[in-house]
Amino acid sequence: MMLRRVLRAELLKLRRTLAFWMVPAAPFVVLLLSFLMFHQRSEYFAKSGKPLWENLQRNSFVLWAVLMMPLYITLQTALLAGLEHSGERWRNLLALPVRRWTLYVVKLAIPCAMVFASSAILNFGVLLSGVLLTNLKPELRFPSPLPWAQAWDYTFLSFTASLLVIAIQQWVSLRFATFAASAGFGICCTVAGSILANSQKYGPWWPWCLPVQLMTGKPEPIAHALWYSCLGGLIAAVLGGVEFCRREIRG
Amino acid sequence: MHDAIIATRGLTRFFDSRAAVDSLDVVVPAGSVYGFLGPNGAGKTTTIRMLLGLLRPSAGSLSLFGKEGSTLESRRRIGALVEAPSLYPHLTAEENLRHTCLLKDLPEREIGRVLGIADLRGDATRLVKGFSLGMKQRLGLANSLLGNPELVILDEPTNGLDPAGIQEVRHLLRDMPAQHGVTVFLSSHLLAEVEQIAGRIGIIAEGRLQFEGTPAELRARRGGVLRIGVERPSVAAHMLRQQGFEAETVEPEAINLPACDTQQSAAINRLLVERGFSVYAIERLEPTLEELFLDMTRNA
Repeated sequence: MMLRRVLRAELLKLRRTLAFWMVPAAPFVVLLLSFLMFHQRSEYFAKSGKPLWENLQRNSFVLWAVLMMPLYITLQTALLAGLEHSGERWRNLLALPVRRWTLYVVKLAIPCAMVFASSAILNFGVLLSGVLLTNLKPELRFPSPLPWAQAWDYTFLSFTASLLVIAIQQWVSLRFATFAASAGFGICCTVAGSILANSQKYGPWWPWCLPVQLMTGKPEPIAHALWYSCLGGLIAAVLGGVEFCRREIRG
Repeated sequence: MHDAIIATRGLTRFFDSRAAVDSLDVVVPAGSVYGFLGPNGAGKTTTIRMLLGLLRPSAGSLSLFGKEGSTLESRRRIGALVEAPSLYPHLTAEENLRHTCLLKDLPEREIGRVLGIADLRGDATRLVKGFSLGMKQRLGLANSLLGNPELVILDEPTNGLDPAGIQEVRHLLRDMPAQHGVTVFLSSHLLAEVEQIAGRIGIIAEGRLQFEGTPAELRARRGGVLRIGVERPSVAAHMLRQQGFEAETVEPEAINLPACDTQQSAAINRLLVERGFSVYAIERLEPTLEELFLDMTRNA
Protein backbone atom coordinates (compact mmCIF):
# COMPACT_ATOMS: atom_id res chain seq x y z
CA MET A 1 0.00 0.00 0.00
CA MET A 2 2.72 2.43 1.01
CA LEU A 3 4.68 1.58 -2.12
CA ARG A 4 1.67 2.45 -4.28
CA ARG A 5 1.07 5.74 -2.48
CA VAL A 6 4.72 6.75 -2.74
CA LEU A 7 4.71 5.84 -6.42
CA ARG A 8 1.63 8.01 -7.03
CA ALA A 9 3.25 10.89 -5.12
CA GLU A 10 6.46 10.60 -7.14
CA LEU A 11 4.55 10.41 -10.43
CA LEU A 12 2.62 13.54 -9.43
CA LYS A 13 5.94 15.37 -9.12
CA LEU A 14 6.82 14.57 -12.73
CA ARG A 15 4.14 16.91 -14.03
CA ARG A 16 5.52 19.79 -16.09
CA THR A 17 9.10 18.59 -15.66
CA LEU A 18 11.82 18.42 -18.28
CA ALA A 19 12.50 14.85 -17.16
CA PHE A 20 9.00 13.82 -18.25
CA TRP A 21 9.31 15.42 -21.69
CA MET A 22 12.69 13.83 -22.23
CA VAL A 23 11.04 10.38 -22.32
CA PRO A 24 9.75 10.90 -25.88
CA ALA A 25 12.27 13.62 -26.82
CA ALA A 26 15.47 11.57 -26.39
CA PRO A 27 14.44 8.64 -28.63
CA PHE A 28 12.91 11.08 -31.09
CA VAL A 29 16.32 12.70 -31.62
CA VAL A 30 17.84 9.29 -32.41
CA LEU A 31 14.91 8.38 -34.65
CA LEU A 32 15.31 11.64 -36.53
CA LEU A 33 19.06 11.09 -37.01
CA SER A 34 18.68 7.53 -38.29
CA PHE A 35 15.74 8.57 -40.47
CA LEU A 36 17.77 11.39 -42.04
CA MET A 37 20.73 9.06 -42.52
CA PHE A 38 18.60 6.56 -44.48
CA HIS A 39 16.73 9.30 -46.29
CA GLN A 40 19.91 11.04 -47.46
CA ARG A 41 21.80 7.87 -48.32
CA SER A 42 18.88 5.79 -49.51
CA GLU A 43 20.67 4.41 -52.58
CA TYR A 44 23.68 3.30 -50.53
CA PHE A 45 21.49 1.41 -48.08
CA ALA A 46 19.32 -0.02 -50.86
CA LYS A 47 22.40 -1.45 -52.62
CA SER A 48 24.29 -2.53 -49.50
CA GLY A 49 22.79 -6.00 -49.70
CA LYS A 50 22.06 -6.10 -45.98
CA PRO A 51 18.50 -6.66 -44.78
CA LEU A 52 16.94 -3.18 -44.53
CA TRP A 53 15.06 -3.67 -41.28
CA GLU A 54 18.10 -5.11 -39.51
CA ASN A 55 20.25 -2.30 -40.86
CA LEU A 56 17.86 0.42 -39.68
CA GLN A 57 17.31 -1.20 -36.30
CA ARG A 58 21.04 -1.73 -35.71
CA ASN A 59 21.97 1.81 -36.74
CA SER A 60 19.33 3.31 -34.48
CA PHE A 61 20.31 1.00 -31.64
CA VAL A 62 24.02 1.92 -31.91
CA LEU A 63 23.22 5.62 -31.76
CA TRP A 64 20.99 5.01 -28.77
CA ALA A 65 23.10 2.54 -26.81
CA VAL A 66 26.56 4.04 -27.22
CA LEU A 67 25.89 7.69 -26.64
CA MET A 68 22.32 8.80 -26.18
CA MET A 69 21.13 6.31 -23.57
CA PRO A 70 24.01 6.82 -21.08
CA LEU A 71 23.67 10.60 -21.40
CA TYR A 72 19.91 10.28 -21.14
CA ILE A 73 20.23 8.21 -17.94
CA THR A 74 22.69 10.77 -16.56
CA LEU A 75 20.36 13.68 -17.23
CA GLN A 76 17.20 11.90 -16.11
CA THR A 77 18.61 10.78 -12.76
CA ALA A 78 20.19 14.19 -12.14
CA LEU A 79 16.95 16.00 -12.99
CA LEU A 80 14.83 13.67 -10.87
CA ALA A 81 17.16 13.94 -7.87
CA GLY A 82 17.31 17.69 -8.45
CA LEU A 83 13.60 17.90 -7.64
CA GLU A 84 14.54 17.13 -4.03
CA HIS A 85 18.02 18.67 -3.87
CA SER A 86 16.95 22.10 -5.07
CA GLY A 87 15.27 24.01 -2.27
CA GLU A 88 16.66 21.35 0.09
CA ARG A 89 13.40 19.46 0.00
CA TRP A 90 14.85 16.30 1.50
CA ARG A 91 14.40 17.51 5.07
CA ASN A 92 10.64 17.94 4.76
CA LEU A 93 10.20 14.88 2.55
CA LEU A 94 12.09 12.58 4.92
CA ALA A 95 10.31 14.03 7.96
CA LEU A 96 7.08 12.53 6.58
CA PRO A 97 5.94 9.10 7.77
CA VAL A 98 7.42 7.23 4.81
CA ARG A 99 9.85 4.32 5.00
CA ARG A 100 13.06 5.38 3.39
CA TRP A 101 13.62 2.13 1.57
CA THR A 102 10.18 2.48 -0.03
CA LEU A 103 11.12 5.94 -1.22
CA TYR A 104 14.43 4.68 -2.59
CA VAL A 105 12.80 1.78 -4.44
CA VAL A 106 10.30 4.15 -6.06
CA LYS A 107 12.96 6.71 -6.87
CA LEU A 108 14.93 3.96 -8.61
CA ALA A 109 11.89 2.46 -10.34
CA ILE A 110 10.97 5.75 -12.02
CA PRO A 111 14.18 6.23 -14.07
CA CYS A 112 14.04 2.50 -14.89
CA ALA A 113 10.50 2.91 -16.21
CA MET A 114 11.52 6.03 -18.11
CA VAL A 115 14.47 4.29 -19.77
CA PHE A 116 12.24 1.35 -20.68
CA ALA A 117 9.59 3.66 -22.13
CA SER A 118 12.17 5.61 -24.15
CA SER A 119 13.76 2.39 -25.45
CA ALA A 120 10.30 1.16 -26.48
CA ILE A 121 9.51 4.47 -28.19
CA LEU A 122 12.80 4.22 -30.07
CA ASN A 123 12.55 0.61 -31.17
CA PHE A 124 8.89 0.74 -32.13
CA GLY A 125 9.41 4.19 -33.66
CA VAL A 126 12.03 2.60 -35.92
CA LEU A 127 9.23 0.52 -37.45
CA LEU A 128 7.25 3.66 -38.18
CA SER A 129 10.38 5.21 -39.60
CA GLY A 130 10.83 2.24 -41.96
CA VAL A 131 7.23 2.54 -43.17
CA LEU A 132 7.73 6.27 -43.82
CA LEU A 133 10.99 5.67 -45.69
CA THR A 134 9.30 3.05 -47.89
CA ASN A 135 6.73 5.65 -48.89
CA LEU A 136 9.19 8.51 -49.36
CA LYS A 137 12.03 6.64 -51.05
CA PRO A 138 10.90 4.03 -53.57
CA GLU A 139 14.36 2.43 -53.67
CA LEU A 140 14.04 1.59 -49.98
CA ARG A 141 11.48 -1.18 -49.80
CA PHE A 142 11.27 -2.31 -46.19
CA PRO A 143 9.66 -5.74 -46.44
CA SER A 144 6.50 -6.87 -44.67
CA PRO A 145 5.68 -8.02 -42.09
CA LEU A 146 7.09 -5.48 -39.64
CA PRO A 147 9.75 -7.00 -37.32
CA TRP A 148 7.77 -6.56 -34.09
CA ALA A 149 9.67 -9.34 -32.30
CA GLN A 150 13.06 -7.75 -33.00
CA ALA A 151 11.77 -4.36 -31.83
CA TRP A 152 10.72 -5.97 -28.58
CA ASP A 153 14.11 -7.76 -28.28
CA TYR A 154 16.04 -4.53 -28.77
CA THR A 155 13.84 -2.79 -26.18
CA PHE A 156 14.23 -5.52 -23.62
CA LEU A 157 17.97 -6.02 -24.21
CA SER A 158 18.93 -2.35 -24.15
CA PHE A 159 16.86 -1.75 -21.02
CA THR A 160 18.29 -4.76 -19.19
CA ALA A 161 21.86 -3.89 -20.15
CA SER A 162 21.39 -0.39 -18.72
CA LEU A 163 20.15 -1.44 -15.26
CA LEU A 164 23.61 -1.26 -13.67
CA VAL A 165 24.23 2.22 -15.06
CA ILE A 166 20.82 3.39 -13.85
CA ALA A 167 21.46 2.04 -10.34
CA ILE A 168 24.93 3.64 -10.13
CA GLN A 169 23.82 6.92 -11.60
CA GLN A 170 20.75 7.11 -9.36
CA TRP A 171 22.91 6.52 -6.28
CA VAL A 172 25.34 9.26 -7.32
CA SER A 173 22.51 11.67 -8.15
CA LEU A 174 20.74 11.14 -4.84
CA ARG A 175 24.02 11.33 -2.93
CA PHE A 176 25.42 14.58 -4.35
CA ALA A 177 23.33 17.70 -4.19
CA THR A 178 24.74 19.51 -7.18
CA PHE A 179 23.58 18.83 -10.71
CA ALA A 180 27.16 19.34 -11.91
CA ALA A 181 28.48 16.49 -9.74
CA SER A 182 26.04 13.86 -10.95
CA ALA A 183 25.98 15.09 -14.55
CA GLY A 184 29.80 15.40 -14.60
CA PHE A 185 30.18 11.88 -13.24
CA GLY A 186 27.81 10.45 -15.85
CA ILE A 187 29.40 12.34 -18.74
CA CYS A 188 32.93 11.25 -17.73
CA CYS A 189 31.81 7.64 -17.45
CA THR A 190 30.06 7.85 -20.84
CA VAL A 191 33.18 9.29 -22.50
CA ALA A 192 35.29 6.57 -20.87
CA GLY A 193 32.74 4.06 -22.15
CA SER A 194 33.09 5.28 -25.72
CA ILE A 195 36.89 4.80 -25.43
CA LEU A 196 36.64 1.38 -23.78
CA ALA A 197 33.84 0.13 -26.04
CA ASN A 198 36.27 -1.65 -28.37
CA SER A 199 38.48 -3.05 -25.61
CA GLN A 200 37.94 -6.78 -25.26
CA LYS A 201 39.61 -6.69 -21.86
CA TYR A 202 37.80 -3.77 -20.17
CA GLY A 203 34.74 -3.23 -22.35
CA PRO A 204 32.73 -6.16 -20.97
CA TRP A 205 33.30 -4.93 -17.40
CA TRP A 206 32.74 -1.20 -17.80
CA PRO A 207 29.03 -0.69 -16.99
CA TRP A 208 28.64 2.07 -19.59
CA CYS A 209 29.80 -0.36 -22.31
CA LEU A 210 27.31 -3.12 -21.56
CA PRO A 211 24.69 -2.05 -24.14
CA VAL A 212 27.48 -2.10 -26.75
CA GLN A 213 28.17 -5.75 -25.89
CA LEU A 214 24.74 -6.56 -27.26
CA MET A 215 25.92 -5.52 -30.71
CA THR A 216 28.35 -8.42 -30.97
CA GLY A 217 25.42 -10.69 -31.82
CA LYS A 218 27.17 -13.56 -30.00
CA PRO A 219 25.26 -15.31 -27.23
CA GLU A 220 28.08 -15.30 -24.65
CA PRO A 221 28.87 -11.56 -24.52
CA ILE A 222 25.15 -10.82 -24.57
CA ALA A 223 24.46 -13.20 -21.69
CA HIS A 224 27.45 -11.79 -19.78
CA ALA A 225 26.22 -8.20 -20.29
CA LEU A 226 22.70 -9.03 -19.18
CA TRP A 227 23.70 -11.03 -16.10
CA TYR A 228 26.39 -8.54 -15.12
CA SER A 229 23.96 -5.64 -15.50
CA CYS A 230 21.18 -7.35 -13.52
CA LEU A 231 23.37 -8.60 -10.68
CA GLY A 232 25.54 -5.49 -10.56
CA GLY A 233 22.42 -3.32 -10.71
CA LEU A 234 20.91 -5.22 -7.81
CA ILE A 235 24.08 -4.84 -5.73
CA ALA A 236 24.39 -1.12 -6.56
CA ALA A 237 20.70 -0.63 -5.73
CA VAL A 238 21.04 -2.38 -2.37
CA LEU A 239 24.21 -0.45 -1.47
CA GLY A 240 22.64 2.83 -2.56
CA GLY A 241 19.46 2.01 -0.64
CA VAL A 242 21.36 1.17 2.56
CA GLU A 243 23.33 4.41 2.30
CA PHE A 244 20.12 6.37 1.62
CA CYS A 245 18.30 4.80 4.58
CA ARG A 246 21.18 5.60 6.95
CA ARG A 247 21.83 9.08 5.64
CA GLU A 248 21.46 12.03 7.97
CA ILE A 249 20.02 15.30 6.70
CA ARG A 250 22.42 17.95 7.91
CA GLY A 251 22.22 20.71 5.33
CA MET B 1 5.55 13.19 32.58
CA HIS B 2 2.51 11.58 30.94
CA ASP B 3 1.10 14.70 29.29
CA ALA B 4 4.38 15.78 27.69
CA ILE B 5 4.16 15.60 23.92
CA ILE B 6 7.91 16.13 23.58
CA ALA B 7 10.43 15.26 26.29
CA THR B 8 14.19 15.21 25.82
CA ARG B 9 16.66 13.98 28.42
CA GLY B 10 20.28 14.91 28.08
CA LEU B 11 19.82 15.14 24.33
CA THR B 12 23.21 15.73 22.74
CA ARG B 13 24.47 15.92 19.20
CA PHE B 14 28.06 16.34 18.15
CA PHE B 15 29.29 17.47 14.74
CA ASP B 16 32.90 16.33 14.73
CA SER B 17 34.03 17.37 18.21
CA ARG B 18 31.64 20.32 18.56
CA ALA B 19 28.42 19.83 20.52
CA ALA B 20 25.66 21.50 18.50
CA VAL B 21 23.15 20.38 21.14
CA ASP B 22 24.46 19.69 24.63
CA SER B 23 22.52 17.80 27.33
CA LEU B 24 19.19 19.33 26.41
CA ASP B 25 16.22 18.71 28.70
CA VAL B 26 13.04 20.08 27.21
CA VAL B 27 9.44 19.26 28.11
CA VAL B 28 6.59 20.39 25.89
CA PRO B 29 3.15 19.98 27.48
CA ALA B 30 0.19 18.91 25.36
CA GLY B 31 -2.02 21.67 24.00
CA SER B 32 0.55 24.44 24.34
CA VAL B 33 2.48 26.71 22.04
CA TYR B 34 6.12 26.20 22.98
CA GLY B 35 8.58 28.82 21.77
CA PHE B 36 12.07 27.42 21.26
CA LEU B 37 14.31 30.45 21.16
CA GLY B 38 17.93 31.03 20.41
CA PRO B 39 20.26 32.95 18.16
CA ASN B 40 21.30 31.52 14.80
CA GLY B 41 23.52 28.49 15.31
CA ALA B 42 22.27 27.87 18.86
CA GLY B 43 21.15 24.32 18.10
CA LYS B 44 17.43 24.83 17.41
CA THR B 45 17.38 23.26 13.96
CA THR B 46 19.62 20.40 15.06
CA THR B 47 17.15 19.67 17.89
CA ILE B 48 14.22 19.77 15.49
CA ARG B 49 16.01 17.48 13.05
CA MET B 50 16.57 14.97 15.83
CA LEU B 51 12.88 15.17 16.76
CA LEU B 52 11.96 14.42 13.16
CA GLY B 53 14.43 11.56 12.72
CA LEU B 54 16.61 13.45 10.24
CA LEU B 55 19.61 13.31 12.61
CA ARG B 56 20.55 10.70 15.19
CA PRO B 57 21.35 11.87 18.74
CA SER B 58 24.96 11.32 19.86
CA ALA B 59 23.77 10.87 23.46
CA GLY B 60 20.67 11.24 25.59
CA SER B 61 17.17 10.40 24.49
CA LEU B 62 13.95 11.91 23.29
CA SER B 63 10.38 10.80 23.49
CA LEU B 64 7.41 11.84 21.41
CA PHE B 65 3.87 11.17 22.61
CA GLY B 66 5.35 9.20 25.50
CA LYS B 67 7.26 6.77 23.28
CA GLU B 68 11.02 6.61 22.88
CA GLY B 69 12.66 7.93 19.74
CA SER B 70 11.44 9.46 16.52
CA THR B 71 9.56 6.64 14.84
CA LEU B 72 7.42 6.32 11.74
CA GLU B 73 4.41 6.06 14.03
CA SER B 74 5.26 9.29 15.87
CA ARG B 75 5.86 11.11 12.60
CA ARG B 76 2.34 10.17 11.47
CA ARG B 77 1.08 12.37 14.31
CA ILE B 78 3.39 15.28 13.48
CA GLY B 79 3.13 18.05 10.94
CA ALA B 80 6.45 19.75 10.29
CA LEU B 81 7.88 22.74 8.54
CA VAL B 82 11.67 22.64 8.70
CA GLU B 83 13.12 26.05 7.83
CA ALA B 84 11.82 27.23 4.44
CA PRO B 85 8.76 25.38 3.13
CA SER B 86 9.94 22.67 0.74
CA LEU B 87 7.38 23.15 -1.95
CA TYR B 88 7.65 22.00 -5.54
CA PRO B 89 7.49 25.21 -7.60
CA HIS B 90 6.37 23.46 -10.79
CA LEU B 91 3.27 22.11 -9.07
CA THR B 92 0.14 24.00 -8.04
CA ALA B 93 -0.70 24.63 -4.38
CA GLU B 94 -3.28 21.86 -4.56
CA GLU B 95 -0.82 19.40 -6.13
CA ASN B 96 1.77 20.15 -3.46
CA LEU B 97 -0.78 19.34 -0.77
CA ARG B 98 -1.94 16.24 -2.64
CA HIS B 99 1.67 15.03 -2.66
CA THR B 100 1.76 15.19 1.15
CA CYS B 101 -1.73 13.67 1.40
CA LEU B 102 -0.55 10.68 -0.62
CA LEU B 103 2.55 10.19 1.51
CA LYS B 104 0.57 10.55 4.75
CA ASP B 105 -2.34 8.44 3.45
CA LEU B 106 -4.89 11.20 4.01
CA PRO B 107 -8.18 11.84 2.23
CA GLU B 108 -8.09 14.59 -0.40
CA ARG B 109 -10.83 16.58 1.34
CA GLU B 110 -8.05 17.67 3.74
CA ILE B 111 -6.64 19.83 0.94
CA GLY B 112 -9.63 22.17 0.90
CA ARG B 113 -9.67 22.37 4.69
CA VAL B 114 -6.05 23.46 5.11
CA LEU B 115 -6.24 25.80 2.10
CA GLY B 116 -9.10 27.49 3.95
CA ILE B 117 -7.07 27.80 7.16
CA ALA B 118 -4.18 29.39 5.23
CA ASP B 119 -6.59 31.57 3.24
CA LEU B 120 -5.32 30.17 -0.05
CA ARG B 121 -8.48 28.67 -1.53
CA GLY B 122 -8.43 31.19 -4.36
CA ASP B 123 -4.87 30.24 -5.29
CA ALA B 124 -5.29 26.46 -5.18
CA THR B 125 -4.71 25.95 -8.89
CA ARG B 126 -1.85 28.44 -9.29
CA LEU B 127 1.71 27.21 -9.72
CA VAL B 128 3.72 27.74 -6.56
CA LYS B 129 6.59 29.37 -8.47
CA GLY B 130 4.31 32.41 -8.86
CA PHE B 131 3.66 32.69 -5.12
CA SER B 132 5.07 35.41 -2.88
CA LEU B 133 7.28 34.34 0.04
CA GLY B 134 4.40 34.94 2.46
CA MET B 135 2.06 32.76 0.41
CA LYS B 136 4.66 30.01 0.24
CA GLN B 137 5.09 30.18 3.99
CA ARG B 138 1.33 29.96 4.52
CA LEU B 139 1.15 27.04 2.11
CA GLY B 140 3.99 25.38 4.01
CA LEU B 141 2.03 25.85 7.21
CA ALA B 142 -1.10 24.48 5.54
CA ASN B 143 0.97 21.50 4.43
CA SER B 144 2.06 20.87 8.02
CA LEU B 145 -1.58 20.95 9.18
CA LEU B 146 -2.75 18.22 6.80
CA GLY B 147 -4.43 15.40 8.68
CA ASN B 148 -4.95 17.39 11.88
CA PRO B 149 -1.60 16.43 13.44
CA GLU B 150 -1.41 16.37 17.23
CA LEU B 151 1.92 18.17 17.12
CA VAL B 152 3.14 20.80 14.69
CA ILE B 153 6.88 21.47 14.60
CA LEU B 154 7.81 24.71 12.91
CA ASP B 155 11.38 25.82 12.39
CA GLU B 156 11.65 29.60 11.95
CA PRO B 157 8.23 29.82 10.24
CA THR B 158 8.43 33.60 9.79
CA ASN B 159 11.92 33.66 8.28
CA GLY B 160 12.08 36.10 5.41
CA LEU B 161 8.54 37.39 5.86
CA ASP B 162 7.61 41.06 5.91
CA PRO B 163 5.80 42.44 9.00
CA ALA B 164 2.37 41.78 7.47
CA GLY B 165 3.36 38.20 6.69
CA ILE B 166 4.70 37.71 10.22
CA GLN B 167 1.42 38.95 11.63
CA GLU B 168 -0.57 36.57 9.41
CA VAL B 169 1.49 33.60 10.53
CA ARG B 170 1.31 34.71 14.17
CA HIS B 171 -2.49 34.82 14.07
CA LEU B 172 -2.59 31.42 12.45
CA LEU B 173 -0.34 29.88 15.11
CA ARG B 174 -1.86 31.57 18.14
CA ASP B 175 -5.26 30.00 17.55
CA MET B 176 -4.04 26.53 16.70
CA PRO B 177 -4.22 24.90 20.16
CA ALA B 178 -7.69 26.27 20.89
CA GLN B 179 -9.20 25.82 17.44
CA HIS B 180 -7.51 22.67 16.23
CA GLY B 181 -6.30 20.99 19.43
CA VAL B 182 -2.73 21.11 18.18
CA THR B 183 0.44 21.41 20.23
CA VAL B 184 2.87 23.78 18.54
CA PHE B 185 6.65 23.59 18.89
CA LEU B 186 7.97 26.73 17.31
CA SER B 187 11.59 27.74 16.90
CA SER B 188 12.64 31.30 16.37
CA HIS B 189 15.46 33.70 17.02
CA LEU B 190 13.01 36.53 17.71
CA LEU B 191 11.73 36.71 21.28
CA ALA B 192 9.26 39.45 20.42
CA GLU B 193 7.64 37.15 17.90
CA VAL B 194 7.39 34.18 20.25
CA GLU B 195 6.39 35.87 23.51
CA GLN B 196 3.11 36.97 21.93
CA ILE B 197 1.95 33.46 21.12
CA ALA B 198 3.89 31.00 23.26
CA GLY B 199 2.62 29.79 26.62
CA ARG B 200 6.01 28.31 27.40
CA ILE B 201 9.47 29.34 26.30
CA GLY B 202 12.78 27.52 26.10
CA ILE B 203 15.92 29.55 25.44
CA ILE B 204 18.90 27.76 23.97
CA ALA B 205 22.40 29.10 23.34
CA GLU B 206 25.58 27.25 22.36
CA GLY B 207 23.52 24.06 22.41
CA ARG B 208 22.53 24.40 26.07
CA LEU B 209 19.17 25.28 27.54
CA GLN B 210 19.50 28.62 29.36
CA PHE B 211 15.91 29.01 30.48
CA GLU B 212 12.65 27.14 30.39
CA GLY B 213 9.37 28.49 31.71
CA THR B 214 6.48 30.80 31.00
CA PRO B 215 6.93 34.32 29.59
CA ALA B 216 5.84 35.61 33.05
CA GLU B 217 8.64 33.64 34.70
CA LEU B 218 11.07 35.10 32.22
CA ARG B 219 9.83 38.61 33.02
CA ALA B 220 10.31 37.92 36.73
CA ARG B 221 13.99 37.40 36.06
CA ARG B 222 14.37 40.82 34.58
CA GLY B 223 15.95 42.52 37.60
CA GLY B 224 16.90 45.97 36.39
CA VAL B 225 19.06 48.84 37.60
CA LEU B 226 18.66 52.12 39.44
CA ARG B 227 20.37 54.84 37.46
CA ILE B 228 21.29 58.00 39.35
CA GLY B 229 22.41 61.14 37.59
CA VAL B 230 24.92 62.71 39.97
CA GLU B 231 27.91 65.07 39.93
CA ARG B 232 31.36 63.52 40.48
CA PRO B 233 29.94 60.00 39.83
CA SER B 234 33.16 58.08 40.49
CA VAL B 235 33.53 59.69 43.96
CA ALA B 236 29.83 59.15 44.65
CA ALA B 237 30.06 55.49 43.58
CA HIS B 238 33.09 55.02 45.85
CA MET B 239 31.21 56.55 48.76
CA LEU B 240 28.16 54.33 48.16
CA ARG B 241 30.35 51.23 47.92
CA GLN B 242 31.84 52.11 51.31
CA GLN B 243 28.26 52.21 52.63
CA GLY B 244 27.66 48.70 51.33
CA PHE B 245 25.89 49.46 48.02
CA GLU B 246 26.92 47.80 44.71
CA ALA B 247 27.41 51.03 42.81
CA GLU B 248 29.31 51.44 39.55
CA THR B 249 30.02 54.37 37.30
CA VAL B 250 28.51 53.88 33.84
CA GLU B 251 28.50 57.33 32.28
CA PRO B 252 30.39 60.60 32.90
CA GLU B 253 27.52 61.80 35.08
CA ALA B 254 25.67 58.67 36.21
CA ILE B 255 26.03 55.62 38.41
CA ASN B 256 24.14 52.32 38.39
CA LEU B 257 22.95 50.25 41.33
CA PRO B 258 20.92 47.05 41.35
CA ALA B 259 17.20 47.87 41.27
CA CYS B 260 15.67 48.30 44.71
CA ASP B 261 12.37 49.37 46.23
CA THR B 262 11.28 53.04 46.53
CA GLN B 263 12.24 53.40 50.20
CA GLN B 264 15.77 52.23 49.53
CA SER B 265 15.98 54.51 46.50
CA ALA B 266 14.95 57.44 48.71
CA ALA B 267 17.56 56.46 51.30
CA ILE B 268 20.32 56.42 48.66
CA ASN B 269 19.18 59.80 47.37
CA ARG B 270 19.21 61.23 50.93
CA LEU B 271 22.68 59.83 51.56
CA LEU B 272 24.07 61.38 48.39
CA VAL B 273 22.56 64.81 49.16
CA GLU B 274 23.74 64.72 52.81
CA ARG B 275 27.30 64.00 51.60
CA GLY B 276 27.15 67.02 49.28
CA PHE B 277 26.52 65.38 45.90
CA SER B 278 24.00 67.08 43.60
CA VAL B 279 21.53 64.53 42.29
CA TYR B 280 20.04 65.37 38.87
CA ALA B 281 17.84 62.33 38.25
CA ILE B 282 16.89 58.93 39.59
CA GLU B 283 15.27 56.39 37.30
CA ARG B 284 14.61 52.68 37.36
CA LEU B 285 15.69 50.92 34.16
CA GLU B 286 14.26 47.51 33.37
CA PRO B 287 15.64 45.50 30.48
CA THR B 288 13.13 44.40 27.90
CA LEU B 289 12.63 40.69 27.39
CA GLU B 290 14.65 41.11 24.22
CA GLU B 291 17.61 42.48 26.21
CA LEU B 292 17.25 39.68 28.76
CA PHE B 293 17.22 37.15 25.94
CA LEU B 294 20.29 38.72 24.35
CA ASP B 295 22.02 38.80 27.71
CA MET B 296 21.28 35.11 28.31
CA THR B 297 22.40 34.03 24.89
CA ARG B 298 25.51 36.23 24.83
CA ASN B 299 26.71 34.99 28.20
CA ALA B 300 26.17 31.33 27.36
